[in-house]
Amino acid sequence: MSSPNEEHETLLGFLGLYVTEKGDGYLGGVLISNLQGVPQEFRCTHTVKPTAIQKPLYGDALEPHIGVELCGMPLLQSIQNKPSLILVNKEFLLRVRIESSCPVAFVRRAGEAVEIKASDGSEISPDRERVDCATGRFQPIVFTVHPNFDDDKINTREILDKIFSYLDPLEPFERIKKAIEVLGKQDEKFR
Amino acid sequence: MMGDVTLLGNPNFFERTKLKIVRKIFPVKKPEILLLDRLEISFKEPGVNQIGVPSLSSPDVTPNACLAKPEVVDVRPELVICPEIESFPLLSDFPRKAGKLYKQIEQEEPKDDLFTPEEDKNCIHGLKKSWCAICNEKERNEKKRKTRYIDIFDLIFPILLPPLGENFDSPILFPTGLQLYPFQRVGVKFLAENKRTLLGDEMGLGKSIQAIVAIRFLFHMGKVTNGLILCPRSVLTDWEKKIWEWAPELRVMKVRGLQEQRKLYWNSLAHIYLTTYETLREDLGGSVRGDENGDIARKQFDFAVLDEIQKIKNPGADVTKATRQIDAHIRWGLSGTPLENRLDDLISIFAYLKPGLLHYRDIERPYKVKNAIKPYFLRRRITDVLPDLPEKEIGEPAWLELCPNQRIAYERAEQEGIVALNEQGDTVTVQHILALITKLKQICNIDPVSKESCKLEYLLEKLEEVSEEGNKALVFSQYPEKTLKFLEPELKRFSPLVYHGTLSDSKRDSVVTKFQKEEDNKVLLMSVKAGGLGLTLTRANYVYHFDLWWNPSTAAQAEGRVWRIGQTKTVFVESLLTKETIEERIDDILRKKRELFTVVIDDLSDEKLSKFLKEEELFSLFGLQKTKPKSEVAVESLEQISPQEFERLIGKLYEKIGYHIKLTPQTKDRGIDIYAKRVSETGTEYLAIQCKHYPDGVVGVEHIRSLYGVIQAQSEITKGVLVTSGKFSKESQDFAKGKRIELFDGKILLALLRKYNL
Repeated sequence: MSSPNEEHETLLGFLGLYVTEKGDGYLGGVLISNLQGVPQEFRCTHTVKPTAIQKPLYGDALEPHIGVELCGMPLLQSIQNKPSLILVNKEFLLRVRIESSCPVAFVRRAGEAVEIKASDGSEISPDRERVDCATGRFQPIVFTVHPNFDDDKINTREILDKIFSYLDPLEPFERIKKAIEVLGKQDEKFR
Repeated sequence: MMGDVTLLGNPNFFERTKLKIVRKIFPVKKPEILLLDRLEISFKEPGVNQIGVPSLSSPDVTPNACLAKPEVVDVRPELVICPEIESFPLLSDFPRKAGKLYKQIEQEEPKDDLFTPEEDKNCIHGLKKSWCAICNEKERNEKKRKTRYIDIFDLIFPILLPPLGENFDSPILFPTGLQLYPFQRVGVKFLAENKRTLLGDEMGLGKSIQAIVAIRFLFHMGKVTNGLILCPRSVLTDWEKKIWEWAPELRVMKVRGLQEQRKLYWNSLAHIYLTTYETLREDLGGSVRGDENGDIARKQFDFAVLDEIQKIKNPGADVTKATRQIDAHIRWGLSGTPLENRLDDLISIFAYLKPGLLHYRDIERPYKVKNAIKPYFLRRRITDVLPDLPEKEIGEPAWLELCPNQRIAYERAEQEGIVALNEQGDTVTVQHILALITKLKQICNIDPVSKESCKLEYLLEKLEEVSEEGNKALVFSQYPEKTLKFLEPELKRFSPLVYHGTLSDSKRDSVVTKFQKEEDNKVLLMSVKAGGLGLTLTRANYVYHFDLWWNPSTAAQAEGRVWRIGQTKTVFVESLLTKETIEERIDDILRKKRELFTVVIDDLSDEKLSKFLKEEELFSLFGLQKTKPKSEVAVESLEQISPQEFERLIGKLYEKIGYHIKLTPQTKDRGIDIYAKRVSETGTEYLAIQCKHYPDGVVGVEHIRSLYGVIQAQSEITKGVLVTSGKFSKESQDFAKGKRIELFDGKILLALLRKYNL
């Protein structure tokens, strides 16, 4: 049980990679909020636009490269409020854990298409952890941590259990997405 | 050459040469991609190398290739032309980052750095600036003004905030201590789900709060990023405060001040631009005059909220024209009395809110109007939604006898006035009558010579009781100069505050705050026009109308300052009127109007809407009758009159309706026979009227087209009117639909002529 002061200092990070409206570029965004989801800090990158040649040459490695090397890690280095947990919206973004001092977890809604593809037939594969909302207000979620940081599971679950009754951990990614869309309307650097 | 032939015949030579070339080029160490455009080999004189093979020049490789050390081969480099190699950069440049720290960093306000040592000289008040409270305050305000500009990341802040609720029916998160009434939640939902609406709740039900909360929802949903709120000047600060209370995360830019400042404000980033109708009229004055270069206000917003939208009821008024320049996909109007007394006000209001929904030709069909606006109109009454609100008791007017000298002054003024009106004969106009009424009403309030006032005597007695019971009162008059100024010193013992149109914004705010918070000020003297809209003055629960406004809805607006959310006591309203005076005669008319008001606002009946005060009613106040000129044409003889007489008749009709008219010359009239102008409190209405005297004929579409062309070319014209003694073709009627054109056929014309006794 943490003290009120500790709770006050506990911050969450939401790191996401987003595709531009036209689908020709990527932006990274990180939102640091308190446990109530109130923003404390927001950073995002300008748009990265791979060329028509770069896209096939990088193939499947394109998004992870942009998401982790070009956007994710620099963004985490730039934030001034250090969170206790970073949630990411793409599995490959778990690689930012290598340079992060706090746990990183990939979250998604339980039962989403990705899991239906699981070959073992079970909904939750062994490395995925399921979290249910105690109040039933939100649909259950599953999270995954970096395979080299198994201890992160415990820390992540502890925080998610605490917040999930009133804050949907997936919802802030929608906010980041909308914010990036609006930024794009205001300034072409985010388009 | 012979050697070449020999070598070419030797397969080993070829194999070895090929291998060397390949090894010379690959492996590639750098990650660039190399493409060999061409490889050309030419043969020259054979030479002898270390291994006895004739030399072959190797291809040149660009420095990017970074080849492994090749096997030592004696080749003649110049003999092979190198391939061109193209390189593609990797995705290795880090994108730039941007963002903002939102967490409030508590910083101590600098105390001594308002002025640098160089600036800290003696000020005009005779002190060092840093010691002078006035200069300190001025500098602090200036710094605050300069630092209130926001950046793009402040703009997206509301979007980054947690959702307010899952839907409009769920509890909405608000700053501590604030909560919406259930009916207000319905209003918020109604606004947020409708892009074009009119919220017509009775005054005092918190229309502005509902609008702010709905706006807040839209911001959080990312559906809007900026918007404009237009309001009367008296409630500008009230709006600012309410936004701060109910949506503290939204940044408001109050556009006021000098033109240069306003220009700066319009061009600064903000969530909400808050200004008055009059400021907008000034800042879009260019567009109103047909020169967009003269505009300094921005015109494009995501939403526009028009508080007291009846301000744009007159299509010819500059305020209306300026407001109609504002382009916003979400348009909400707020008004406790949207219709006042006329359906055409409603039509004009919806011409901005939802263009094309209503037409001027619907003015005679209230049911049609009612059905058309139903999906876009929400009106609730205080008694229905706030049953617990203390009652409003409108007492019978206090009928007072004029004081002796006041009576003498009154009688003299009335007799002189009537004599003057009679002397003017046929040239007497409504304006002459109105001027006399004003003069007499002012004497009913106070005799300027003897300073006697029966109303003041009565009021003093009443205020004693009000004050002793710990209550406060509002005293309304429409004459700030002739009445309120006189009352202020007479009511000194109640520490009266005065609120009228000439006060500055800050003075108005301080008057309202002082009255609401301080016990000493028992009375607030208010001009109906300045204080009738939007203000919350719930500290008072007594309202005295020292004189009566023409429009009963305006009086109701004034009472609404007190009878609204937040009122804890029963509200008492009393009007002070004088017996056997013009006030008694006017009151008779007002009573009738009040009945009409209830019918029109709360149930758009098909009762015909009469003009607010008819000419004959005004003349009858003084026992006068407007004589009928002998030359007037009887309805029965309409078919016999000439086209010129027909034009004059239509001119007279519009004069009767209340317009000033100008007949155009028979030639060079550009198709227009009459220009008609009517001035009301919100602006001027111009009509271009074309007359077609075809008793048995049909007016074709070409005439309507011609009229439309004229009004399109003259932006000051509010609408075009085509009047005929015959009929209109279907094509004509179809063409006029949705345009600023009204058609009156012979049938309607006859009805109008009968109505106006022509």
